[in-house]
Parts: sequence; C-alpha cells; structure tokens
Amino acid sequence: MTWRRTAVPAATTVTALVVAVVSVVLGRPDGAVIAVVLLVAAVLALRRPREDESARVTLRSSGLDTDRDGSDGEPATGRQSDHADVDIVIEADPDVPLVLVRVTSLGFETQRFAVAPPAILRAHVPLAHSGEQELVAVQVRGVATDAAFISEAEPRASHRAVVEPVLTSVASLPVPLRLRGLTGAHASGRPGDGGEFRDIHPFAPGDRLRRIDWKATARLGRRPGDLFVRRTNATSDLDVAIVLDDADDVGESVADWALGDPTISGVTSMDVARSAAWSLASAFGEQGDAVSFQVLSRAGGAIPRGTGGRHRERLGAAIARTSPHSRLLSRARTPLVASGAQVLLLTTVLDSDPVRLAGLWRAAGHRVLVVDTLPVPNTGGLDKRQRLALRVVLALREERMHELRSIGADVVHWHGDAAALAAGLRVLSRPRRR
Amino acid sequence: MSERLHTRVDAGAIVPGFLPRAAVAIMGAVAAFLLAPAPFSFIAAALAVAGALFPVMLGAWGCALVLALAQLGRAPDALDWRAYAALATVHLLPVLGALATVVEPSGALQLAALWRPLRRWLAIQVPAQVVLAIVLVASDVFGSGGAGDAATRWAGRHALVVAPVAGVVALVAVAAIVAFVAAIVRRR
Repeated sequence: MTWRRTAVPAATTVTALVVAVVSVVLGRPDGAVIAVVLLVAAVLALRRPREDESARVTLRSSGLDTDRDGSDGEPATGRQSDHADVDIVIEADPDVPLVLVRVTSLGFETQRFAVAPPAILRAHVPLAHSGEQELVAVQVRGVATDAAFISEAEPRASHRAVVEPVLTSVASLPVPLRLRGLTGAHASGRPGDGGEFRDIHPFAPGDRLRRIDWKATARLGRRPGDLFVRRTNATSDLDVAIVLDDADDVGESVADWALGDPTISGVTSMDVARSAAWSLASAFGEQGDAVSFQVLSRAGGAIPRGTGGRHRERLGAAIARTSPHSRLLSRARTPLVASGAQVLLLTTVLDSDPVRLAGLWRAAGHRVLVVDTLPVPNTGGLDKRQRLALRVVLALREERMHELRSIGADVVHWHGDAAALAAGLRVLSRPRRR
Repeated sequence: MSERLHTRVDAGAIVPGFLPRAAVAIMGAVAAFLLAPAPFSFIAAALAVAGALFPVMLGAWGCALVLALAQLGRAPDALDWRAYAALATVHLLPVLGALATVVEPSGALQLAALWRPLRRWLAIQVPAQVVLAIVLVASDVFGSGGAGDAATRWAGRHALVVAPVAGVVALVAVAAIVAFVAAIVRRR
C-alpha cells in the first residue's frame, strides 16, 4: 500500500509557527501555549505508516441461500428472493484509525463510508434479477492519524452470486406432430404399447394373443377363425432444443433501455428468458424428454441433449449463468439441433435474426415454438420522441411476429398474464390435424 | 420508469458525512463572532465557511490562525474564558478540517471513527488548558509588578505552584522536541 502525505501536517505546522513568531514578538506566553499545542498535534501526525500497514476487506455472504459462500473464488449460488446479505469485514493495522470504504452494489449504486477499523458492514442487496451478478464491490483506502497520510485505493474486492431463475409450473406442453422416440410420456402416432386406444384390427401374425378383443370378434367376425385385436398407440419421448437469444437484455422500464441500470430496469428480458428456459426444461425433463440448451451468440456453454436428474442440474446451472452477449450478425451461426427435435426459441424478436433461424428450422421440418421474452413495456418517463421511437420498434417487432406465424412457428408471450400463458400453451399442446 | 431498488448498508451508528464540514463552519463562525473583534470575526467566519465548502482550501486552518492572532490582540487575563475557548477552538478546527478533507460529504461517517481524534484532542487539551491557566496567572502577576523583585517575591510565595508548572511546561517542550526528532528519524 502506497501512502501519500496530505497538506494537513504542513498547514498545522505553518499555523503553529506563525502564532509562535507573533507570540514571541509580542511577548505573549498564552500565544506560545497555543503554538506549542498545534506543534505537538502536527508532530504526532507526522509519523508515516509503513508500506505494509494497510486496510483489508473481506466479503462473505451471510443471507443468500447459498450452496457456496463465494470465498473460494466461485460465485455463490442462491434463489431469487427479496434480498441477499453480504458482510463487509474491514480490518486495518493499529496505525490506521480511519478507513474510507466505497461500496458499489449491482454495478450501479455507490455508497461511501468512513469507518473505524475493525468494522463489519452488512449490505442488504435487493435480488431483483436472476443470473450471475456482482452483488457488491468494495474498495478501501486507509487514513493515518489526523488525515496526515492517505493510502492509494486497495484493489477492488467483489462478491458475485448466481441467482436461480423463477420456476413457473407448466401444465401443458406442446409436442411436435411426429414423434420418433421409442418410448416416453407422449402419445405417438404409430401403433404400439402404452398409449391410448387406436383401433380394432384383424389379427395378424405378430399380434399378441392377449390383445384379442373377444367382444369385437363376436360382433365383427363373419367366418370361423376371424379374430380381431385391440390396438393402441405407442408412446414416445421427445427431443427438445432450447435456444436462448442472449443478444438483448431490456427491462420493463423502456426509459432504462439505454442505461442498463438493474436497479431501475424492473424485470428484464433475460430474467424472463431464464425463467422460461428453466421452467420448460424442467417440465420436459420431468416427462423424460431429452433436452438440450444453447445460446445464440456463441457455442460455449451449450448442454447437449440428455435426461435425468443430473442433466437437469446441469441445465439449471447453465441457464442460471446465462448472461447477455452481443451477437455479431456476420458471425451468427445456426445452432445444430437433433433431427425431429422441437425447437424452443426464446427471444425478444427485436431483430430479424431469430426469424431467419426459425425459417431454417421450419424448412428442416422442426416444430418451432417462439417464446417471446420481452417484458410488458412500461412507458413511464418517456418523452414524445422516445414514445414515437418505441412505437416504431414495437411495430417492426409485430411485423416479425406475423412473419414467424406465417412460416408456421408458434408464438407465446411469457411475461405478463399467467392465465393467458397457460391458455396459450394449452392450445398449442392440443393435437392438430396434419 | 420503475421504482429504484436501493441497497441498504448497515454500518452501525453513523452520522452524515457532511458533519465534519458543518462542524467546521458552525464552530468556526460561532468562535469568530465570540472570540475575535470585527472585522477579523468576519474574516474568520468566511474562512470557516470556505473551509467547510472546499476543505482542500484549508480554510479551517486560516480560521484557526485568525482566532489565535485575535487572542493575542487582547490583554492576557486568567479570568477571561475566551483565552481557554480560543485554545480549544484553535486546536479543534484543524482536527475537524482534517476529517473534512477525507470524508465524502455525500457519504456516512461511523460514530466510532470520531472517538480516536477526540481522544487525542482531549489528551492534548487537558494539560494544555492547565498550562495556559498557569501561564495567564503568571502573566498577571509578572505584568503588574513590572520588576524582578516583585516576580521573585511572588514566586517565593507560590513556590509550590510555580515549580510544578515550570516542570510541566518544560516536559511538554521536551516531549515535542523528542517526538519531532523521532518522527524525522523514523522517516529516514
């Protein structure tokens, strides 16, 4: 730690010397006493702290529902709740009577404190958003006796946490028209075991004897030896590819779109996207479907398709850690999805790339469900020009929505009315004519 | 626009960060009008306010200097409270001014952080006030006689008081010199 001298000792010394000189000239011992007092105060403050005498800061999570406390360098994990408590422990050497603390929470709000070490400050940070975030960053500076010396700022200490997204219960799940799996929870179109009633069919070689429907045989049999079997549909599992468009992170508050301040943005599109991805992944996973996850901006962080509890945990961790990344149009790639998979594209549809990708997937025969992750806009605080610009943006977006529907993609709005979302998913989950 | 979410930081007992600045302004202005004659009182008050608004201008030290010089403009009197008030204020203003230079006015100051400067101020002030009282009494006595004989007679009558006072004054002077030398040696 580098210490720098302030003007305080010099100012006190100069004041003392002037008073002393005038006192001597006037022959005033009371003035000399004042001068001596100032001089003693200046001399006591002249001691420069050693380079190794410093202020230290340690951050630890105390109120977050954590699996890890973040002390091993890895972010702590927790669930989205009202607040997280972070303890800021300030320590310093005995020659440092005052420590200046600068606390930055969620990257935007800064508060400053002057504390006497050792001290523990507790920050109650509102957890308004899911995903990985820097809850608190702290920078400290030591101040020596009477502010005669002040240290350079210590390196910034930060406490990061991964906040799990909100899990919404999904009762109705849309499935593709053709299912190619051999077994699972969804009714398939081909004959087999496990599904619902299909038809009554004449007995054929290969049919099991216990499938013979004797009542149907008695009713339909025309000649001796005619046998009829009761056939059922097979069940099938499903390949689900969740593709998250992480290019935008815009909040409910449209006035904040240019600022990106998480403390005033309200629910953001990434919050909605994470919640939708995690809810759908959990719902499909619980039915035994193979779920994969990838983001649109890059190949890293993709989770290949799989099933089971451990796979669900991996999906949850990957979804919770998703953060916005700029997507260069020239480098936009088409995520690879399994043959016959149902594609769930989570996007704000604020640009036309998702429409292009949905068209490619539809052309390849995939069922595409576009989950609109744009939060319901709050237009408060907008001036006339901004309102006009918003109207243009939303009109272009609506045009893209029409284009998506015209190429056969289904669209649901995730944020807002929960009943409308449930009704929309229920409609999409009904079997449709081919 | 959504309502802003605030992080609440619990730092124990705190006072607003502008308190040292406010103390410089209030204490400097009050002391200026009580202890210094016009127009010096206005100058001292202005320096105190300037020091509160812009601590790096060192207005607190300027105010302290004016107050100390104003004390020298009065005749020494052991029964005049203003001499003791001047000593206390002239010492306290640089302490508060130093705090004002480092504490952010928009921030908060932990109440416990005031204890060490206050303790140091008291540790210097208590003996200094005693020494000042003795010095003023001595000035009264020596000033009225105007001759060495009177002083000798007075000292002889009050030998029990004069001897310890002289000792304390010498001790303070020696301590100051030793501390100064020690500080210089440590720096090297």
